[in-house]
Amino acid sequence: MDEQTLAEQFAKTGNIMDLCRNETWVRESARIEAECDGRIEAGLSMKAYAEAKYDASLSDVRKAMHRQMRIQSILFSELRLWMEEWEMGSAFEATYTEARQLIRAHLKQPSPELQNWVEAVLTEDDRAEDLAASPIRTQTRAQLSLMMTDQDWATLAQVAAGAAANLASESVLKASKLEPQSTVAA
Amino acid sequence: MQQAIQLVTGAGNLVEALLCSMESRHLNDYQEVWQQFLEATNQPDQGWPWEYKLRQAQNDERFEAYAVEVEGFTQGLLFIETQWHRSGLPQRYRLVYIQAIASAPWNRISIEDPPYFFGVGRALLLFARRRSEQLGYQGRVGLHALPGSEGFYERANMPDYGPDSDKEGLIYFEYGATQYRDA
Repeated sequence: MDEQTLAEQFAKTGNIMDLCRNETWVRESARIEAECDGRIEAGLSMKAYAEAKYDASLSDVRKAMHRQMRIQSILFSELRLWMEEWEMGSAFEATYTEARQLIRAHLKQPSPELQNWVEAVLTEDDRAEDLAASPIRTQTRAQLSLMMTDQDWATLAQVAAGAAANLASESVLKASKLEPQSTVAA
Repeated sequence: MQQAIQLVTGAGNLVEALLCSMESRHLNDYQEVWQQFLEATNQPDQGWPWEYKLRQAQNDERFEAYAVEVEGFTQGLLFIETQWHRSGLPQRYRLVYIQAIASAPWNRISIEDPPYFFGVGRALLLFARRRSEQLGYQGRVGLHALPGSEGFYERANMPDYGPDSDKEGLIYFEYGATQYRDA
């Protein structure tokens, strides 16, 4: 990391992380990581992960992981946009996390219709340069809606209510531990 | 914490990404998808190390965990300790210690060529330096690189302090103070 570049970025914007939005710096990062095979792991707890060796016999695993990453990226990014419209406030994170897991469960046992759509959108994703050229992907929210069962909706409602109640309860407990702001007159 | 960043795809296109505090959803991505690679290669560590790390980060202020995500899916993870570790230098400066950092399997060229995304590692490393500045440690960051990753830290101009016998001989790298102050 070039210390001079960090100092200049800090002087310019007050945040060195803005380098991660500077195309020159980002492309330099890509070059550095390419030279190193993309291997960046550190820390003993990641030893097994870092030492896992890929060979041709694992090509099916690689393809499966890649497909899962892509289909989940497509579904979860749209799911987030959709759920943000529900205005759940502090219950969002827990509910969104649960919804992702419900969708994963459906992907593990897809209906024939869902399976067909997944194949079509992944084929399109491999070829498409941008979202404007992805007509099948524009159906993602409708697919999410089709995927969700009555039981799923009930589960999400329960998780949202639980998360909101927990946060409200934490706020009350926190307030109860605060020092009084002023003395009450006798 | 949320920081908008950019990554580069294997095809050379810039994409929007998010560096944020690690949440349960990032752990789920690791367990449900990344971990398949470990299982397929019969690696001994079949536990879920990031589950423990996330719990530590949620319950102990010494620890912090972060994730990089693109389109809502986890592409990189970072776990740091912020209070107990000291510099390898005689002055024993306080620093941010990277206990674990990893990029998703499909971002490694030996697994996927071209890889799906470049830039996850350098963005997380830069973020660790920023946290060090914010904590008053002047940008000092230390880590033990795993075999095969040393080249990345050398190319990132991180000084190499040689093998550490306390850490299975892994090479210890440490950034010194930055030339600016952000504390």
